[in-house]
Formats: sequence, C-alpha cells, structure tokens
Amino acid sequence: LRAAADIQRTLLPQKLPELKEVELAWKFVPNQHIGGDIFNAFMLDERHLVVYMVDVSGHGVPSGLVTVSVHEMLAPQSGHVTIPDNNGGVIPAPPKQVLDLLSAEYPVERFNKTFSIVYAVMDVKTGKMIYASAGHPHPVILQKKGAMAPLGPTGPIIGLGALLPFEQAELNMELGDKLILYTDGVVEYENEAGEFYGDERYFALLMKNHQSNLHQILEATWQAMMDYGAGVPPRDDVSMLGLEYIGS
Amino acid sequence: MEIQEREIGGIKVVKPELVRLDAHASPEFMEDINRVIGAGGARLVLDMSAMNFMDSSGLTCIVTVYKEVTQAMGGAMVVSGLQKPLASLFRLTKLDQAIKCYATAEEGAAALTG
Repeated sequence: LRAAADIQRTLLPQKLPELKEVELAWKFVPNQHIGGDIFNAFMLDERHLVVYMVDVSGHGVPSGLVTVSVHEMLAPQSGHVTIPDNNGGVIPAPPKQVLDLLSAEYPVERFNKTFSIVYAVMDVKTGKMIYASAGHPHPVILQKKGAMAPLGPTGPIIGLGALLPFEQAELNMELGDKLILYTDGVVEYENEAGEFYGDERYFALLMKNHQSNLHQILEATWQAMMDYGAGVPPRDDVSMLGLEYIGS
Repeated sequence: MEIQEREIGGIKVVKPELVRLDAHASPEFMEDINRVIGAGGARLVLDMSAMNFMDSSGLTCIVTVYKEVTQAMGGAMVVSGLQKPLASLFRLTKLDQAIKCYATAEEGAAALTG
C-alpha cells in the first residue's frame, strides 16, 4: 500500500513550468489511504499550456492503478494529447477529443471505476483557454475586477461510455484573472459531526481572498478547512491547482 | 443493507435503505443490488429516496447497475426520489441526462410502463 501511495505522489507535478505569462501553484493533501487524485501542468509547445485534474472513484490500489494509467494516457509524449498539423509538426488536441478518447478507454465495466476530469489548453500569449469539464467540481474563475464564476460541466463523468457526448467551452482570461481547479475533497471535507465544508463556504473564502496570490489562496483554503474541521484529517484526497494569467 | 422490493404495475421497484452510499458501503450495495435486480429484460425503478449522500464510489455503483440493466441485460432503469445533494451530483456529472430521474417511484414506474 505504501508503495502504491508513493507512486501516486510521483504522479504529481515534480516541477511546474516557469512561465512569464502564467503563474501556477498547487497543493495536495493525501487521505490516509490511497486516493484517486492526480493533476498536472505542462507546456506542449512554446505557447500552449495544458492543465488537468482527475479524481478517480474509490480508494486503494485499484483506484491508484487507474490514476497511473490515466496519467500515462495524458503524458505529453503519449501521442494522445496532440494531433498532427499541416507542417509535419503537432498541435494540441482539442479537449473534447481527449475526453472522447478517455471515455472510450475507460468504460466503467473495464476497471469498475469512474472518474471526473477537467482538461484545459491555454494559449499563454493570448489568455484564451479551451476546456472540457467532465463531472468534475466546478472550476472557479476569479476575475481581477472581483467577480467570481464557477465553470459549468461540458460533459458527463468518464465511465458512461458513449451514452452522452462531450463538449468543450472557451474562456478568455484577462490579465490578473485566476483559475482554481480542485477536487471534491475540498468541498466534501467533513468535520466531526459529519457536516461538509461545502461550496458556499469555499466560494465565500475565494471571494474574500481573490486579491491574494495563488499560493496564499490555496493555503488559506486548507487553513479554513482545518479550522472548520478542528484538524480532523481528510477522508478523501484534497487537491488544488491554480493558475493566474499575468501576461508577458 | 436492507433493500425494500415491491411492484408497481408490473415494474420492479427497489429501494435501498441506505443513507450514505460511499466507498465503504459500495461493495455491499453492489452485492445486494445484484441479488435483487433479477433476470434479463428487467424493468427497474431504483428508489433512492432514503439516500442523502453519495461519493464517486457510489456514483460508480449507479453507473454500473444502470449499464448492467440496460446494456448487459437489455432491460430499462430509471431512478426516483433523489434528495437535493444527490440531484446536484447527478446534474454535475450529467448522469441526469443519461438516466431518467423522477420525483416518485410511482412516476418512474408509470414512465417504464408507457
């Protein structure tokens, strides 16, 4: 079990891209068993940043093995996240296409697992982002001007097979806008009475801290959770990944 | 886990007496639900009105049962009685677009009869 938990940790970003256009930060707190959260951020080429977050259902070795498999599928060298361009090179695969592939590869009957995912490709030169969100807790955009908006789902949880189509959506990030991805380990964190930290408290905290830097926002979230639960350890993995568009 | 079984107009209605369907409860849920689903061609209302929490493992159970009934067994299945937290989860995961949801078991059974 410990080996499997160690493997899960090695799947987390060892080093985030250092970009002049985009700032990135993450926080991960594992539960006491092996969870199913993974996330990553990497440059596909000089202007396209990929960020994703996955939450495989369940805990334990079977969930851990699926996370390893999904991580390999989404690796930049896998050939699954790029498509050929007309000049003999490659360009980012559309998020919808990536999710279609995952849906075909991971029907629930194959591993007895479902998973949620947010997968986004951002042009760091323009701030334009194309994303697909499949059954995942709503990513939150924190605009510099103070507004906050959760991004709705564009597709079903992975595992349904071909029952429902996947779509993708666009988002134009302005300078100073932040995007926060997280797993349900944040909003479904429970105190001793079994009450959830919840969307409302989380979104209020994000609004209150929207002018803080990413690192401060992620730490403030974890601190607020621990205050709420009086330090009760999380029953699920807690994952947060933030990015801020800071331009060149 | 106790499962209530009844019939409405020839449609099987199964109601798990379970408040929380999570990673801990999922194995027993699957074992028990598979026992009551019955043979191929089943038309089934899964009455979930006793449940007020479901995590991703629970959701996986529902997807598995739905695919077993509708694809492997060639039957039909709807759910009924989703409490607010479950209704939100079904919306978030778009499961509500794949599996028809009704307020009551009677409405679900009527939909399967028609």
